[in-house]
Amino acid sequence: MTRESLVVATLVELADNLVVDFDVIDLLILVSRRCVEVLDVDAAGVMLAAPTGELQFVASSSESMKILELFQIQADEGPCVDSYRSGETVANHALSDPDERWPHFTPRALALGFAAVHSVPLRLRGRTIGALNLFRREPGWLDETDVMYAQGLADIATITILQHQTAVDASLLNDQLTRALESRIVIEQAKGMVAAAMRCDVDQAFARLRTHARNHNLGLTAVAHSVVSGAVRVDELDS
Amino acid sequence: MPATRLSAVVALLVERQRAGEEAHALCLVAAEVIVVDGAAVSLVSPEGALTVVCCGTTRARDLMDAELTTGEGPCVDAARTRRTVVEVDVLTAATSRWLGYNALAREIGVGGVFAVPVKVGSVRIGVLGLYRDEPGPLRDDQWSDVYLMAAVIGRAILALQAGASPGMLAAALERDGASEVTVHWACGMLAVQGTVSVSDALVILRSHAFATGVTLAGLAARVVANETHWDADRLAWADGSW
Repeated sequence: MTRESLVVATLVELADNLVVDFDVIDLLILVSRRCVEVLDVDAAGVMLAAPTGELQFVASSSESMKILELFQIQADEGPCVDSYRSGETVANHALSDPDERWPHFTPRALALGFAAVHSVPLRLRGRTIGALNLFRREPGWLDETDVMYAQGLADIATITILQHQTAVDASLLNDQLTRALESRIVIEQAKGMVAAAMRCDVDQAFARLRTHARNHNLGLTAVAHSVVSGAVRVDELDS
Repeated sequence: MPATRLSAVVALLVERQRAGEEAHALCLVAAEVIVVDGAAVSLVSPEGALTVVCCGTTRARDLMDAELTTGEGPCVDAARTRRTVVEVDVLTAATSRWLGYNALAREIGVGGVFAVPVKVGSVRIGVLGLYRDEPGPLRDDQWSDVYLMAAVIGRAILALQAGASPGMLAAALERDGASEVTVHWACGMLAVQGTVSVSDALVILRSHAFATGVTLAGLAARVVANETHWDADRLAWADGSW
C-alpha cells in the first residue's frame, strides 16, 4: 500500500468520531491555512466540482479579495481545472505571459502578483472531487517534501468532504480481519502438530494439510481446525 | 481542536512513512504525538490472543515479549476487558497484579505502562500499548492524543487489511508477527509431544520460558529447531530432539 493510500485510508471514517461536529468549510479553511504555514507558498485554496462538473471556490488561506479572485478566475481554465480534469498534480508551473495553456488565467494571476502555481487533485479511490491550489509570489520550486505534505493535506480535505458519502464498512472489514487472524493461528498450530507427528519440517507439514484439503475439497482452515480440535488425527491426513 | 491535532498526526504519518513501512510508522507517530518513550500495536483474536503488528522501539518489543511470555500485562488486560489500563509505576506496583510481567518490566527498566483498546465504533480491533522510561501518569492532553491515535490506528489497520486477499492477513500487518508464527508451530508440536490441547501447550511453553528467563518466541524457536522438547512421560523438558 502506498503512502498516499495509507494516509487516505487512515482518515476514511475518522469523520464520524472526530470531525463530525466540524463545519466542512471551516476545516477546509484550516487545511488551506496549514498549507501556507507548512509549505513554501503564499496562498492556498480549495475548489470543488459541483454536480454539473463546474469548479466552485470553497475555501482559501486568506479572505482578501486578491486571493479570492485567484480562484474566481478559474471557472473555465487554470491549474485547478487541469488537475481536477486529469486527476494529476500540476507541479511547479511558472507563470509567464503570454500563456497558451491558460490565456485568461495567467495574465490575471500575474497581475495579482503571483509567479508560480501548483495544484493537487482531491482524489479518493479513483474519484476526483476538486483540487487544492497553491500559489507562490516568487518564482521557484516546491521540493519533494512540500509536494508530499500538499498531498497529505489534500487527502485530509478529501476525506472531510466525503465523510458523509463514503464509508468503508468497518464491521465487514473487521470480520475479515478476525477470520484471517483466527485462520492463521489455527493453520500454524496444525502445521506444528503435523510436523511433530510426522517428524517433518513445517513446509512439508503445510503441503500435507493442503493436499488433504484439496483432495477432500475442503478449506485449509477447516482442515486445520479438524486437526487442532482432534476431530481428524494427523495420520488420517492424505499424504 | 481535534481537527488540528488530526492534521498534525497525518502530517507526521506522511513523513514517517517515507522512511519505512506503514505499520511501523503508526508506532513511531503514536509515541511522538503522545510524547511517551515507546509504543506497540497488537491485533486481538476472537479468543483474546495478541498478535503484535509493530513495536516502535527495542524496549517496546521487549515489553510485548514480556506480555506474550507471561500471558499478562497492560495490553493483555486491555484486550480482555476492553478498557484502558494504567500502571504509573511498575516498580512500586501492587504485587497482586501481573506478578510475572512486572518482574520482567522492571528488568527491562521502564517506569509507567499504559494500554488502550483500538476500536472502530464498537468493533474491537486491537490494543495500543505505551510506556514511559520514568514513572508517572499521563496528563489529560496526552490522554486526548492517546484516544486520537487509537482511532487513527484502528482505521489504518482496517485500511491495510482492506488490500489483503480473503482469509489472509495483509502482509503489512504480518511483518512483526513472524515470531508469533513460531509460537503457534511450537504449540502444535508440543500438543502432539505431550498429548495435550494447543491451549495447554501454550501454558506449558509460557511457564518454561518464564522460569528459564527466555522469551516465549525464543523458546518456541528452540522447540521448532528440535533443540528441546516436552517429555510427556516425565512431565519435564528435555534437551535435544523429541
